[in-house]
Amino acid sequence: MDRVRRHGMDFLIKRVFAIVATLILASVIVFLIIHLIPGDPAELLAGPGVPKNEVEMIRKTMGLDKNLLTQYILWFSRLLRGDLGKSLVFGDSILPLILERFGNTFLLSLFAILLSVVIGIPLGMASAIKQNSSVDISVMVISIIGISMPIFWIGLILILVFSVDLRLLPATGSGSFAHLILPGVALGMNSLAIIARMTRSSMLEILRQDYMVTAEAKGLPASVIILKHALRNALIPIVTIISMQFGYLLGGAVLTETVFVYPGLGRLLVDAISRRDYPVVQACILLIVVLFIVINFLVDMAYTYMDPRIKYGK
Amino acid sequence: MNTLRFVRKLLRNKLATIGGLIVLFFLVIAVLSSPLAQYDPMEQHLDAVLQKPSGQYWLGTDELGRDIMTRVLCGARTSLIIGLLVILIGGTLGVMIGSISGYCGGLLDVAIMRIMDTVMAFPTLLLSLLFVTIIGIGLEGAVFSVALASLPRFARLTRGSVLSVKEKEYVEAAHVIGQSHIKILMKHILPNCLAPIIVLSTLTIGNSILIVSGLGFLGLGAKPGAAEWGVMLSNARGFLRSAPHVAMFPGVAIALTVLGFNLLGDGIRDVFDVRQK
Repeated sequence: MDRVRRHGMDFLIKRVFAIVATLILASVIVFLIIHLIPGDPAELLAGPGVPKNEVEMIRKTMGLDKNLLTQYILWFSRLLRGDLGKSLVFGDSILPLILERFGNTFLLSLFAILLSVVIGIPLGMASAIKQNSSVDISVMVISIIGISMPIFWIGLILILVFSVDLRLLPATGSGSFAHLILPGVALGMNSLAIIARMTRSSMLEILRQDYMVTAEAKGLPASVIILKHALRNALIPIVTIISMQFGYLLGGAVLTETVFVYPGLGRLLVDAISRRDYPVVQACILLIVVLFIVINFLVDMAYTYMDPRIKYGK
Repeated sequence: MNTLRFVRKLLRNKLATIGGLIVLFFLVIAVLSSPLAQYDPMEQHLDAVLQKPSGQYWLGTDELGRDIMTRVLCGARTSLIIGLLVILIGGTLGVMIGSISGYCGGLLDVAIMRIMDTVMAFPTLLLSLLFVTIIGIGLEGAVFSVALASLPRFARLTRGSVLSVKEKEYVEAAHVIGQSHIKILMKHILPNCLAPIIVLSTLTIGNSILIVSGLGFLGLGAKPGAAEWGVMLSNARGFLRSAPHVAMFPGVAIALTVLGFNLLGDGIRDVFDVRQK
């Protein structure tokens, strides 16, 4: 028992180191954006049409005249203090702006992921239980169509049907739950399809196991067999996919938020790219990536402890 | 596996056959878009704006009276070129990096894979946006960005396959008779790693078309007004109320094409029996 626990600690420490390394490397990549864009970083950060002496001042204050490593360390230490710089367009400090927008995106993604889990898992289960039936085939066909449809087109269709024709839901804006529904459905559609497919294949794998036959032979009720024996064991790959999907939703929000003119992080990022507001671009990308990495890590850890069959170490 | 047997096995898979037919249809349209089109994609008919589908304009016209049928056909060519370029750039570079990483091993391998893993920690669309920021807005920038964003997947996959093949006896034999590293890699190892790479390529073409059209929709890809599906959809947003058909056809085109590549890719995977993560 003690040995197991010690190995568990070793494993945890190793994983934490790996995740910190990944986070630092990711921050290096985001840091390098400004240096990889053709042109003088100081001029890029000053914005267009700024006089020469001001550009030089920015170079001095930002430390852009130092070598790359020193610059990165300076940038990173500002980052740790929550100083993400100032927006070139609005002139405001970025952190409050990005946090406000992030709240909206988080809400939207959360709604989308809930929707796709609540609908996707039962669909996938029904599909697996009645493999090759008409239910199975239609769920699979619909889900592969769902994966192939562009989010922004789904969004336009939803607006067309529910806002323009039926006048049921608002097409654009934010602020109430009604505003979340259409963008949430558009955003969640791809994830729903992916989760349904994953649930189906994971369940099929489990249904073939010997203990399922045993459970059936014992005369357990079908609901117990399906929920307790099958779903619980099938859950791990499903949970992994869900956590990955959450990250993709944060990225996919870029498209949804544009369609529905929703004031989130994705919209901010796209606007910043087209306005060449580089500090905001860096901040948005960094925030999404850090979240993505951290969420995946937490889920990974959670189910390592949930399922003792997962071996520590490799 | 020889080609004939491969095709026969693929045809036995119903969904893959449908996918293959869709892809074939798309290819034919893309190649023949100029002779098939009735009009020029940029030709404006200001006396016939936002027309509904009719005998004269099969799929109707947009806000400048441009024929939507023509523009959807030309969009197929654009998308085909996008998909192929992404594979050509991202796939080739990825396979090269992956095979070097797997073949050389050691510290180089560790360093390359560490970087690839980090890059893969970025969601694909976000990574593409990052590269667009660096390379610049425009169709070329978008294609390069998506190519670079798809590179790590190819590198990882190739490295894995190379690792498993390079220990085989025939590779050992090639070493013994003194063949050069390049020759061993190109002639003995890579041809035996091809199956998963083909599967990934097929799926990547569909996905790239999806992402590049998304960038077009966001105004970060092809120029406004271009006959590109994403841009056309972005335009159509302004006329959703008065002319919903403008938003229909480019969307159907994207969804159908991507669906074709997805079905075909899944089918090829089943035939090759490659398991992917």
